[in-house]
Amino acid sequence: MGYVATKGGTEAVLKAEQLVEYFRLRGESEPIRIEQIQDQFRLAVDRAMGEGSLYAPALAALALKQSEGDAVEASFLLRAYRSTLPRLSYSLPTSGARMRAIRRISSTFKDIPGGQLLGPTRDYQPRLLNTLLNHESSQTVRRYLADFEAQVRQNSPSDGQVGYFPKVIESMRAQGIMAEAEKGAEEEEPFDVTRKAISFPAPRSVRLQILTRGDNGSLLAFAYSSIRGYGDVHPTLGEMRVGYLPVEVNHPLTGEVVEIGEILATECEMVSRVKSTNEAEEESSPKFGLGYGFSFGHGEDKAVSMAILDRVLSASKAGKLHGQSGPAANEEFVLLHVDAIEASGFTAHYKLPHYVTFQADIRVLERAKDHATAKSAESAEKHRRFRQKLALPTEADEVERIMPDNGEDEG
Amino acid sequence: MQIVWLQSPQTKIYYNASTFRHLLDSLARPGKLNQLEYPEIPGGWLDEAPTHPTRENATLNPYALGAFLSLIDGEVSFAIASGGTWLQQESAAVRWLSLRSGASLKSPSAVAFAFFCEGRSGGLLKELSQGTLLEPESSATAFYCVEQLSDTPKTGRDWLELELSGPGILHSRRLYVAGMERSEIVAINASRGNYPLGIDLYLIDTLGQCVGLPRTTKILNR
Amino acid sequence: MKQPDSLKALITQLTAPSEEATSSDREQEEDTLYNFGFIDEDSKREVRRKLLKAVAIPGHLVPFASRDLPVAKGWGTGGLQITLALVKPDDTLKVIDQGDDDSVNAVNLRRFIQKTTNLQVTTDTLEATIVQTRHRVPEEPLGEDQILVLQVPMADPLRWVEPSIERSTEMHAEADYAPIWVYMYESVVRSGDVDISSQYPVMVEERYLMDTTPAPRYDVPALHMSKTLYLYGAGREKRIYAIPPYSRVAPLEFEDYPFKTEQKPGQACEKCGSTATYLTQHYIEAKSVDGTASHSATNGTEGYWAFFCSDTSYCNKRKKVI
Ligand SMILES: [Zn+2]
Repeated sequence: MGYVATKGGTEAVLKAEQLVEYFRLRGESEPIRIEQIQDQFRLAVDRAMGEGSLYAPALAALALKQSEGDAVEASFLLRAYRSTLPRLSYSLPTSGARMRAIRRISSTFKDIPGGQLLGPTRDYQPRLLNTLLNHESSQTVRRYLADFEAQVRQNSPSDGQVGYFPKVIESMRAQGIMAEAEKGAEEEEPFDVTRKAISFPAPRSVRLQILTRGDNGSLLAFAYSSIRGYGDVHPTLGEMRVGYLPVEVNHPLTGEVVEIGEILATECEMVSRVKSTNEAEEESSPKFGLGYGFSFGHGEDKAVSMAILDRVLSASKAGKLHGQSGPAANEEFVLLHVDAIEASGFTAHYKLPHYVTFQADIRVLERAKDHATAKSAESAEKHRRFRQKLALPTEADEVERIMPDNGEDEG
Repeated sequence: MQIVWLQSPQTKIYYNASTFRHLLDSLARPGKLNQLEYPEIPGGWLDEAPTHPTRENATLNPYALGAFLSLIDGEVSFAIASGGTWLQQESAAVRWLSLRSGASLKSPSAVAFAFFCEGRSGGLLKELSQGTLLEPESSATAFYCVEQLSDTPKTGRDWLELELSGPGILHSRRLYVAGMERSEIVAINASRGNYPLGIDLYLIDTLGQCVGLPRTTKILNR
Repeated sequence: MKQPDSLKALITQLTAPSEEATSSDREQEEDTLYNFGFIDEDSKREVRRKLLKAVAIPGHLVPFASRDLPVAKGWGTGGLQITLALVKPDDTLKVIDQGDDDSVNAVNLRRFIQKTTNLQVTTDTLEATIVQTRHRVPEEPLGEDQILVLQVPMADPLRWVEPSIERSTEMHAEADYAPIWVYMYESVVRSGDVDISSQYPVMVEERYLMDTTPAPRYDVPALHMSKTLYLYGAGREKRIYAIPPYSRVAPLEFEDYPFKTEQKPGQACEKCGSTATYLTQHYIEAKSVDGTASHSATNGTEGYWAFFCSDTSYCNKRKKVI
């Protein structure tokens, strides 16, 4: 009877649940431990935390195990879980300058205050499949770690300075080449899209929140569309850093600032020229504008894409020349379509039964067909009468004329 | 079973749900009397409930307070008036409501919820927001504490006889109100001349009977 | 055809406490795992405030925050949040999808609501205090003490002609509905009928244009001057709207092209014989030779298409009477 059976739906749902579990386990390999996912699928965990909008590596690893590695499904599980958590406190604003960085780069200047720190990146590795991983054992892992740590001990830098860098953007500000941020926006309490309904045009905090919760792939596609051709922002990477940010709250009783932990995060600042419609204004003070990107964990593509989109949208919103072209410059279009949970949910909802509406569609289709038939009959009739009026041969006569009777018809 | 419920921490959750259903039904069926539950929540919801701000030795209508509290929290703001003036931050009633709900006192034109301790606003109703054409839902909702409500005919100087019509009412409905000033009806009608803008109202009497008068309800003072 | 007992079994299993578990044990479990109704009280309050405004402004789209639920967005999260904000422990709930209590998504939503509320559930429309539905209004007229909650995918009827929310919000504000009239006129001229089959646009109280969710046109007249409160929730679109009871709801129509439902005169349900219900087509597999085919297929081997009521509970009720 099919999946929308008028009966047995309940049974089918319960059986489907069993089957999912069966397909997850039927390989009979050693069950994977959450800890292993957390350690060895680091980037998948980070992505799930980002799109799930919940910084909880162990839960993200659990979600990945449960979802058999499906990134969107894992973040969906985290989002749903997140809804059940009471909001105990709000963390205090922090700054990227306070990040204990493991990586920080800028493409604006070769030498920047504090220097470039390449850190853990695959950027300059040839992408060759490493067949040695087929035979990785606990022993090879231990040996690698021992060697690496010995190396680190030899070159260990002096204490106290490790990983803290000034921001490249700040030095650009000092040089007077950055446009100032909108006044007042900093003091405003950021909007929270999980607590309040948004409407458009939206404040920048809405944009940043939606983008950082957004789907990596969607952000990438929108940002790419803009820099490839459907847009006129030509950004440069001011700075990208990956590292540990302190999380601080006010102590509920004393009001003192207390550090309650740290999170791994990626931060990116893209800069591009602010072009003005007002020529005089542009002549007087050409500046760079800033786009900001942030992602939980180590998520460089996301942070860069988000920074590009923030820049594009700021530019388009300011009514300046650049950013007006291309879908990525349309705030509503971008913000309403980058959420993986919303997009996948609605796209997948076509799998739900639609037989009531489809029946209605059929009826409308039938009416359209009848209408078309009636219309063509009507026009044929008109045509015939017109020809009669002009004493032209009717269509039937015409056919006879074109197909001369060869006498065989009768035979 | 009943006892388990009363002592369970869930009681407030159930009270809020049940009260909401009455408030919803009241607004969906203007003029219909809904009996609210008494907000007796273990853990002392009504503990140290403020006395009436302007009437000596009188309490504030606990049903109305409970219903009001069931809708407000840290995401919204409120205003409360008694004797024709808005109460200030220092007043006991304001502090009590803020503390219980997390909602903040704001200027009347900015609040989502307003509480009138009597059946009159003394002209304050017109200070509340009626919303905007883009966001008519941003208008205020106001609660009036009245003496008594009835759907059966009442006569006498204290009673107003109102004829209601509009969405939620099949033809028309009679409502009898004691403890509400005739001039207030004029003020209410003045606040709803510009649909879809307008203020949505609740009248709650001392016995906990509740009536909703959404902005769509036409009120005729007989 | 006999209705299998699996649904009933699941319902019993979910509602009835196991013999050793006391009622307080069950509450304990409810407490520790989830809040009553899953979403937290602040979230419910937000939905409630928005519902009140929706009722006060019939047909107007009220934005709400819309929480993430353990159900995919687009799969009924709007209706679900309304139901969860409404329910109190003494409610009796019915959940249907396509008119069917046993449709897979209805089963899933019902399981979720039950797990987090321990509510009484039913398949009988008349027994329910709250009916949550997707794509249908139940056939049996609902009463004054019932609430119908509809799951909405699109919410804004102007989406047909104006995809930008910023712009369509202005159009609603100004009651500027000319573009949708043009759209409908053009489709009548082109194809002899309005292109919009389900989610037919209606005017509520002569002020707001409203999307009737993809419910068939057949269900539209049930919205006009109904005894029941209709609440609409679009979770992904983050909008709530409502039709209060006894409100005027008029489908858009032209004088020379009046509103038409899908029904064909004379068509009847092959199970209960009803000619006054919404019917959907079902393919009936041919039975094997030793099977008990209730219908003689044309040539004995092929299946055939039959029409049944989409409201299964009502159809079953009618069959029992017959
Ligand atoms: Zn039938």
